[in-house]
Amino acid sequence: MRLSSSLWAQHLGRMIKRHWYIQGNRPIIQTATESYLKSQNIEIVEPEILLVQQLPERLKLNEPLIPLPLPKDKTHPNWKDKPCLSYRDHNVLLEGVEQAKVLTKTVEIVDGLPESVNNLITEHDERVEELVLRTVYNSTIYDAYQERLPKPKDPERPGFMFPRPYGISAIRKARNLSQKLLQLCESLSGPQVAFERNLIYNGVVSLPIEKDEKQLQFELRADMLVTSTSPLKPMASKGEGNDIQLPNLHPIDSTITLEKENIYTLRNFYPIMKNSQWMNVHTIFAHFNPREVKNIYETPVTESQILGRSLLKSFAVGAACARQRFGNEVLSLSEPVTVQCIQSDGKMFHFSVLQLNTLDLNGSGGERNIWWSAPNINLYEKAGYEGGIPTVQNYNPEVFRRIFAFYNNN
Amino acid sequence: MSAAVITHSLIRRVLNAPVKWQLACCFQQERNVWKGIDKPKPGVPGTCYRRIVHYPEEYTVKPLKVTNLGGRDPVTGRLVVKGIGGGIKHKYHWINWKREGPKGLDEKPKEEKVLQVLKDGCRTAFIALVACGQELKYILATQNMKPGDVIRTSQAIPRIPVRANEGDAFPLGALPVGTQVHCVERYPGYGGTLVHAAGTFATIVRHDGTGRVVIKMPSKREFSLHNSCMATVGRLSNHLHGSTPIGSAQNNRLLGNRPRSGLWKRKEGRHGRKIRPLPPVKEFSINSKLTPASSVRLTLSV
Repeated sequence: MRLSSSLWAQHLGRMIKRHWYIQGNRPIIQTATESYLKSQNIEIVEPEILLVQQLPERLKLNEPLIPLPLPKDKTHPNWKDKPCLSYRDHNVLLEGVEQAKVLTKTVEIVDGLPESVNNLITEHDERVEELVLRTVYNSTIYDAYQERLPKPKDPERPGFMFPRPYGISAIRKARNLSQKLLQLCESLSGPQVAFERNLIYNGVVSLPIEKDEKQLQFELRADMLVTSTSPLKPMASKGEGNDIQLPNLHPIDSTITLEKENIYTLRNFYPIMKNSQWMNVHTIFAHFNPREVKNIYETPVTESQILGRSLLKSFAVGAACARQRFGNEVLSLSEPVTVQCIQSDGKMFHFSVLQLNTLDLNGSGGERNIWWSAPNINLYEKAGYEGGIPTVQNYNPEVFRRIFAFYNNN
Repeated sequence: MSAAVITHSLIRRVLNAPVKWQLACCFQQERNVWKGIDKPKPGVPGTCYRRIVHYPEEYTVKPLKVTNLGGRDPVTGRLVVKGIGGGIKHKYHWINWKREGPKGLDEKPKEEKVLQVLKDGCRTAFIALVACGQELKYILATQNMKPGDVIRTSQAIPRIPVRANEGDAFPLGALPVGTQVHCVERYPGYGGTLVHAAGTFATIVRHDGTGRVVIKMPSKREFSLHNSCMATVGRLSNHLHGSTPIGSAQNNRLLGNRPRSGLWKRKEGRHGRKIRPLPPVKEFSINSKLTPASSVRLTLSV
């Protein structure tokens, strides 16, 4: 016989705890007590006030040495009730060229580039062609800089991971090409032209402008800004495009996809002083970086949107230059300002010319700005290593002819 | 429990004195303490423990970041649903469920332009990017929707039913009997919550004279709704989704589903279909909306 008492066959602690836990969740039954006590004028106090102990006050720390960023609300010193619609380098217009035309009140009078520029496009001799081709090799294949390129994705097999490619990014190719081809233009055209031109890298312009009682601001960058001593001559008479209708965007507003902001500062800025010898804008080189420029809804940027980007950049730089020349309040320009624009992503080249006649964007009537644009052309079809051999396929000599014509135009 | 552990725990109890290896024993015992945790049950409509979407304060068409949950309850971290986990991480396209338009009878319907029809990884139907004025939004795409289409929205209920095209949104009371609709609101102004899956549609069955409309759901059930509940006309896109096989077990894993438990038996009938008559017409009205009874948890400490 065992002297010790018999143990419990089952350890009930857990079951009791569980039972108490489940039964501890009680629904609140509405009784008449509260209304009765109120009718008897007896004060009712919430149980939390009596039972819950207040925590002791927390220690207060000193202000950090680097002050915290200001909250982005109405207390911000730059807060304004009227929103500003900003357009910056990473943004594109929803409807592309059509929307850019309505936004800047611009029309196309003829397809392609203006006659005066077309006349300047001539063939070069073999040695020049060879130099250009060597530039293409240098910029797109032999550049020793390697960086991580965007992840390749196959929509058919979304789970498949490709090896991460390394190489020359599109923006680097574009920078290389623009710099080297521009330098070649300078060398070929001789000192009498080159002395009249000046070059600015990353020329930032800021242009606040009103359209139909909406405040807009373009804050854009001309990746390479070529300026000249004398302004470019107008390529059409001022009123030539006044009869052409602007595109109809109904039911979309022309300011869609511009960023709406309440915290902003408006400023007119052009990177060159008014009294400078080379203050007139001549040609802008805009680079299209597919890693920077994106739609807000993250689908690929369309060709029309890329062309629209050229138009807006030309407009912003041209208008900022016009304000520097004629004053910030100028609307109708007595002397039109002409800007040439070359946009490139390292392979594609887009050439356009904008003649600014007016900075008055209100309404759809009145004076129009005039734009000439040639379709996109590729400098080459493929540049890279083919079976270990550096090759450039289908090189197009037309691109350099146009750049040379733009550079020499005056 | 090993003999050494029992001995040490005995020493501790009898002598009430600290022992060198006491910590290990305590730790083990603490691990076995039962703690009550309120874990949700699976099968509640609207919660599937698949992902959390990080919504910003204002509506945006920018695809949103998600956190995949793998069947876990985000509050307790416990596994609730067993068949979810892994797969490709998709960004979430926030759909604007509220179609708002002019309310007056003499006003023209609001017009919007379809810009793109996109595939969304988080849902079965395609989605459409729509623009109007300065606003961009996503809606569910209908079967024949294509870029460039103009869709209309009006909240007015005229005496004669409107002739609606696909993608147009009108109150149920303004549409004729027999119209195929989707994205139907349960309560006026709450946003379309009924009929979202690819290729589905509900049909307007009859107008009750009392300002209510009866629709037949894809499940053949009949719902009675207020006549000012908005509905989008047409059948939803990607109608082949239901008849397309997943293809392989690996494809099912890419969709974020884990292998089945293997407990389903065709011939036992426990999980199988039972033939029952359809339930009667269900009426949705704000008055009949049930609010869960409040409860209080009693604890020993305050």
